[in-house]
Amino acid sequence: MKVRRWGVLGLLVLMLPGLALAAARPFAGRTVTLGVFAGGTRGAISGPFYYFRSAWEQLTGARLNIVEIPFDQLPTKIKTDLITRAGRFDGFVPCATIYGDLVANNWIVPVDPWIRDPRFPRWDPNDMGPPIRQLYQWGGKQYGANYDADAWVLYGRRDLLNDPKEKAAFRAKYGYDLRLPRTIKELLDVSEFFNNRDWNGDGRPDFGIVLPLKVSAQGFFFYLAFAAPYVVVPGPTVDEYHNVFFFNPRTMEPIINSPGHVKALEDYIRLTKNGPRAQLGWDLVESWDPFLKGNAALTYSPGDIGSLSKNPDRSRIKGKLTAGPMPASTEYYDRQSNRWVQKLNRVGNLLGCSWHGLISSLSRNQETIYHLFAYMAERPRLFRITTFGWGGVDPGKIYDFPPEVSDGQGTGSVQAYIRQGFDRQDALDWLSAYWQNYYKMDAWQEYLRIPGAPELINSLDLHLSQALVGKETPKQALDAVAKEWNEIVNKLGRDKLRRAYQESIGYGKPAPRYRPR
Amino acid sequence: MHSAPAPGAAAVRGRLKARPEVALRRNGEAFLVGLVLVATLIWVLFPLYWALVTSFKEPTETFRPTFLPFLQFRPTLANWQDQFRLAGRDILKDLSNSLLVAASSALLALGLGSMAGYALARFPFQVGPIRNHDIASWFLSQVVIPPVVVVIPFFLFMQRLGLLDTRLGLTLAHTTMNLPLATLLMRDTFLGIPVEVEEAALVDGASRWTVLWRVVFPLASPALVSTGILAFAFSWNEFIYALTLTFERATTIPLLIAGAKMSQGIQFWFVSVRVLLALLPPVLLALSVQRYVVRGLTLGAVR
Amino acid sequence: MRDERVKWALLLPAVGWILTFTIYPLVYSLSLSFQNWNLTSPPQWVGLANYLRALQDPRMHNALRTTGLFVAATVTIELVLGFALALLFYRPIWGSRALRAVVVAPLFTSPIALAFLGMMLFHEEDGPIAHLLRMLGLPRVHWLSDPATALGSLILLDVWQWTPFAFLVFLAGLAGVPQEPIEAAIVDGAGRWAVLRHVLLPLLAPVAVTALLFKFIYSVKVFDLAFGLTGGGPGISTEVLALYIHRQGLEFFNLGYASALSYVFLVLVVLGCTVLLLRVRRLYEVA
Repeated sequence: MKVRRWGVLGLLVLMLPGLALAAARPFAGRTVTLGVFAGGTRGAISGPFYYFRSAWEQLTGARLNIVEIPFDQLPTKIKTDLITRAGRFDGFVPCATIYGDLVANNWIVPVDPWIRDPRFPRWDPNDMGPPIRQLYQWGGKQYGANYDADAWVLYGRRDLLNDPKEKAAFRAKYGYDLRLPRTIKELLDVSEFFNNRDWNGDGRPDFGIVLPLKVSAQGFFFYLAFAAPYVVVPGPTVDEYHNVFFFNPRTMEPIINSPGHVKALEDYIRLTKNGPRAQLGWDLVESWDPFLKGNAALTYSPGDIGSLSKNPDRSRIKGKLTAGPMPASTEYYDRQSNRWVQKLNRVGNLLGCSWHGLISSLSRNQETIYHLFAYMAERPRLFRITTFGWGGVDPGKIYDFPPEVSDGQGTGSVQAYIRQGFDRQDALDWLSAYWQNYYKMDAWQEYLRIPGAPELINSLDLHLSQALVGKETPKQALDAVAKEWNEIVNKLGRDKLRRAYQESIGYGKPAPRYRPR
Repeated sequence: MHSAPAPGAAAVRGRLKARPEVALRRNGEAFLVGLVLVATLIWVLFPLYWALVTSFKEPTETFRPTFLPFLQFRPTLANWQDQFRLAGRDILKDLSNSLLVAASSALLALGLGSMAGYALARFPFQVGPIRNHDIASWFLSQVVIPPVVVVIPFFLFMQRLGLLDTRLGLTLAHTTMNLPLATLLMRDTFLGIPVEVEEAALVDGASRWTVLWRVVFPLASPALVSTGILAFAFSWNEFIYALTLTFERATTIPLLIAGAKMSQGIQFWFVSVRVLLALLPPVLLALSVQRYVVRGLTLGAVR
Repeated sequence: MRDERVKWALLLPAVGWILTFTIYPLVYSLSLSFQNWNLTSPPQWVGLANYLRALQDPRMHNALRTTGLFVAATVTIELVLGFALALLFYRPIWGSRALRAVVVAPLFTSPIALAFLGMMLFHEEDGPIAHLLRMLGLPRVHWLSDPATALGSLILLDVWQWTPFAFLVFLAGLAGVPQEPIEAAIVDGAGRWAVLRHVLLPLLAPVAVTALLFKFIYSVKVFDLAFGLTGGGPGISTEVLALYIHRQGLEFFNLGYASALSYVFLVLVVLGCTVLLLRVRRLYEVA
């Protein structure tokens, strides 16, 4: 008896190293394939996966196969893989716009059961700023582990805005002090002030603001970011009149041609006149070029400007960058009372892709790929990725922000950014802009990710472009968009889309709000 | 086959030389032709020169109208190094895929197309009311089909055959694309070559296949080369089928170039590098078969 | 008898190939055009609804107009230029060999790459073309931001890329032209233009027609240039038909409607080709 017991115990002891090894390399022998945006091995989104691949492989014993897919082809390649049930990808990192399609067809797997599972690396969904957190969820379920958080913020030239000569001239002309615009009016004034004159002494006239307005590219984002404060009405819950920008969630009627939108478009067109005519055909790289080279006073854009500005072969303005959230509006249109309300309205946006990994329901290695995503989401690692800049992962988690810019709430350190090459003040301004956008706004513009989003966006994009070149008036353009949107919604199924929209925005639930700790 | 120049030609040329005003016209003409030549060369080469120059510029220099390295801007090897270091494997893979698929589909299309073209040029066909001319029109109608119409069914077809993301699958698609052009161009060529030549050889006792190989083929070689070059070029540049039917292993050069479009827009400095790399093999190929085109053309002239 | 077997043996492989690889997709596409399908929900039969919609779609009309302009401009310019160049450089004079070698380079430039290059070349502020215009004191052209001129940029790029096609085709054609009629006409005292119009062109007619037809069809199918350079803009001023169909099919996944649009496209192109053939035939009385 005793001998047998000791024998069994002895056997167990001998097996321990083996068991430990197995526990340490829980997914040994498995290979997972990740479809990811093609940023290259040291570029946006895909870069960090390459960077940490071997460490993760050693930890888990699994093998990671990274397949890069160019931006335009992402939705198509991912959808065809799922529709034809080819199942080549265990996980993919798409733009958030196709969430609706993915969920509607049960193509992605919620990760809630694994978040507290001790087998997997730990990360906290609550670290992500409240409005962004929503983009990682649908209908109350969490689908992604923390990664990127995208939004558009305003960038300016700190040296120019602080220049005494310019300040004096501005005050004389407009009657108030020059600073990075905080309201739409200031944005229009400052961009007009700096447009079409040579303020940097290179002999060529410079620009007030540069925007990438090329159709079928990213142009429409710029209208969305600008128009948000005219349309989104703050309120405690997300309902038919509050916290919505695109549709009335109760009826699924487009509100894209509401008086708020029309006025926003009129002002937007005025804004674009404070930049070069050529920008009507520019995509992001061409429009960033004048700003990064020091020939434009303002632009607004996703986080890339922050990280590119420190890059010597893209930028000449390191140390001269300032940033802030998108300007607020001094009035907004309230559809409930059908009138304009004269009140300062600061609305944040979630524009961009907020890239994060999703698990394919066709995958036979779901836990393995989840482990990868959770591993990348572990706090110290993800913070490091954010500080890279070149990783394309923008600040959004509470631990990304130094206390100086976040009312003492953030737990990040600016030193980490400086170590990666950021200029100190540039980094602080940039981080402050993102902090304010995610944590301190009155309301947020919802993200359009329902099925049919690409078609809806294309319709808007096109008519915006027509309005910008003067082929349609703002009202005509937006009315046309509303009409087309109704057609699209009817074609795809009004009830189906309404339910999807309601789920995606958290209809009836409290509006996202950050509660300080 | 190669007859002596027509007897009148020498006399004509002699007469032209004798008339001074004609000679003057000839000199002026030579100057004009020279001018056109230079202008054409500049026109053809400038965009490629721009790609070359851009590939050696720092990204901040991309949108500056500077043309001369060292004199107007500081050239850098960074873009080339970057591409080779980070994307070298992909570049090699895509280049070799493109080469294989383009060469195979061009050869296949030429082979099948010349046979069909010859048949349509030399033999009368009649199936009910359908005659040669109608069959030729049917071939033409195949070219009309825009790829976007057939690309999804093609995708499903290839998936069922298990040929997705394979070079074989893409070759099949490209051959289909090139076949009608090859057929019709070769048909035109054969229509232009006098039948008497072949018939003379047949009368001399040669078999039909010998006639094809020893007589027709050399006469048709400039057209074969030109058509082959065109088919190669179309396959080399083809985008939509490559986009839809390949994925990772069988990707081609146009996808590599299109892939330089990031979420932020196009990285022009990388595009320039890739464009030049994409140009190299086909241009080298064209240069090496140049000889045959020239020889064939001068042979025809002396006839 | 042996001739019978030989002629079918030569023709059938090509015909068979095309039947296998084209007919199935075409038939499938046709059946799709009578349905509404977006890949995710089950397809629904809608009969002719897609066709009716296509005929009334203002964006389709715009695409037709844009494509028509593009085709007319590119085909005309390229064939004329290609013919002129082939005529000038057909003789082995100094430089013609270099030109023949160099001229294939544009053909091998991937259209997508050319579109991206075009973005740099046509950059209105700092591109080389803008620079040239500035130096010559000419007014600025808004290549990519003016709806009126954006199509011009596409046309220029296409001309750059495809003139060599016409050049090569005419070159091969000139190689096959017999010399006697030309020399006879010169001996008879005919002037150059007369020889060109009345002797050379008719001899080249088959080749010219083929070149014309092919270029017409390739121009009609233009996609990569518009996709890469302008995305169909500004506004919809460069949204050519292939781009619109691609958008409907592979961006919005309205596969049924895209298929219907494609068939309308096909019918129009075939009609166009037929009309073209008839008119050209009449001009040159080709058998």
